[in-house]
This record gives sequence, C-alpha cells and structure tokens, in this order.
Amino acid sequence: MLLTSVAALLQPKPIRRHECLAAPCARPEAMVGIGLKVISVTVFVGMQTSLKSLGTDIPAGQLVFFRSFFALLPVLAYLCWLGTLRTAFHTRDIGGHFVRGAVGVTSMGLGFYAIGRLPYPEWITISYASPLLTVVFAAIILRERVGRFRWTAVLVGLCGIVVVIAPISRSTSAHSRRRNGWA
Amino acid sequence: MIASLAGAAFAAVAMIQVRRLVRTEPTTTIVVYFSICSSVIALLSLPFGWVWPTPWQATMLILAGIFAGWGNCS
Repeated sequence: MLLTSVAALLQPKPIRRHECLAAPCARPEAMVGIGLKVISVTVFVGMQTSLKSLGTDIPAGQLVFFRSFFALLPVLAYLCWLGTLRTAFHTRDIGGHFVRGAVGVTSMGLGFYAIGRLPYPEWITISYASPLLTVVFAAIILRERVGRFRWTAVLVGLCGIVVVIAPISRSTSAHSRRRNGWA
Repeated sequence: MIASLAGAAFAAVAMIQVRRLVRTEPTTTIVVYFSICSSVIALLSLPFGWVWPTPWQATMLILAGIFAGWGNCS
C-alpha cells in the first residue's frame, strides 16, 4: 500500500501551468522533495544527538574531522550509485571550494565546540541566526534585493534569538562580567 | 554561546560562498570538496589535544559522520 503510493508519487504526471501555480504542494516532485528534506533534517538531528552525547570529552577539531571524513562514505556511495563519481571531482573553481571549506570548517568547529557546552534547545535556537544572517550577507555581499517585509521578518527573528541568549548570558556570565567590572 | 553565535555567522558566510559556487559547480562537487577540505583542515588540529576515543565514543563519532553524509545526500 505504502509502496504503491510512493511509486505513484514518483511517476511523473503532466501538469498544466495554472495547476502548478494554484497548488504547488500537490506536484509529485514537490512531495518527493519535501520527503527527502524531512529525512535530511531527521538525519542531521541524529548527527547532532551523536555529537551532543559525546559532551566536551572530544575536542571540536576531532569532531569536525570525524564528521567530515566519515560523511564521505555515504556521499561517495551515493555518487557510485548515480554513476557520477568521476564527474563529481571535476571542478573549475578549486579556490572557491577552498574558501567554502575554510569558512565551513570554522563554522562547524565553533558550532561543535558549543554543542557540548550549551543545552540543545538553546544551541539549535542560536543556530537559527544562520539563515537570518544569510539574508543580511546576501544583501551586503551578493547585492541581492531584499524587500521591506523580509527585512522585518529578519529583524523579528534576530530579536527572538536575543530573547534566547539574554537569560543564558545572565546566568552563565553575570559572575565573570561582575568580576571584569562590566556590570 | 559566543562560539555558537559566531558559528552561525560563519555558516551564513559559507552559504553565500555556496551560492557563488552553484553558478558554475554541481552540488555533488561542492559536497565532495567540502568534506575533503574540512577533513584535511580538521586533521591539522591533531596535535592540539585529540584524544583516543573509547569504543562508544568512536561509534558516536563515526555515526555522526555517516548521518551527516547521508543528510547531504537526501
């Protein structure tokens, strides 16, 4: 039953243009896309749970190495299955990949350093700053146009993150701030 | 907490860089090169306090990697 409905979803169905606009979620590719995205999110939470269970015993650099190195196994297996293993290594922008790698590794290292030290709900809420900051940086660096409504949404989101951060900074660093004469 | 926030900011910059890369590079290439690049960079931290993991820790570390790679594929 389940298999037949999945197979039905995977069957491409001709769609008229106005149907697409009226009900984007009814498109079979969209349903497959949503399904894959849900799996992706679930699996990433699995990864974060594994890391969180390690606490602070393992340094962040070592966490990043294992996370990146063993991530290659499923990725390479998937590429073999697709038959695109060889073309995947072909690149015209090795410098761009290096920049992405260096920035990404810094981000991951900081994030993994924090995950063992913060309660998970706080950690995940602070990481929600990332898509909001992506909008800000896209506007500044890529000069993408961001409308008034989206700026408002970003601002509201960042306020939400401040709400989460404020109690932690009070409880964890009030002592050190007092000691340093900041408060 | 600062680390977490800075991590989020760097992740945002990484997204911008990915956005630039996808103009010329396929997604799979970006994923493969990122995993290789960050493995190598992270390996450089080997002399700075790496610990020999217990079997349980090693399992968790390897699982984290496999989950991450799997998450990238789906």
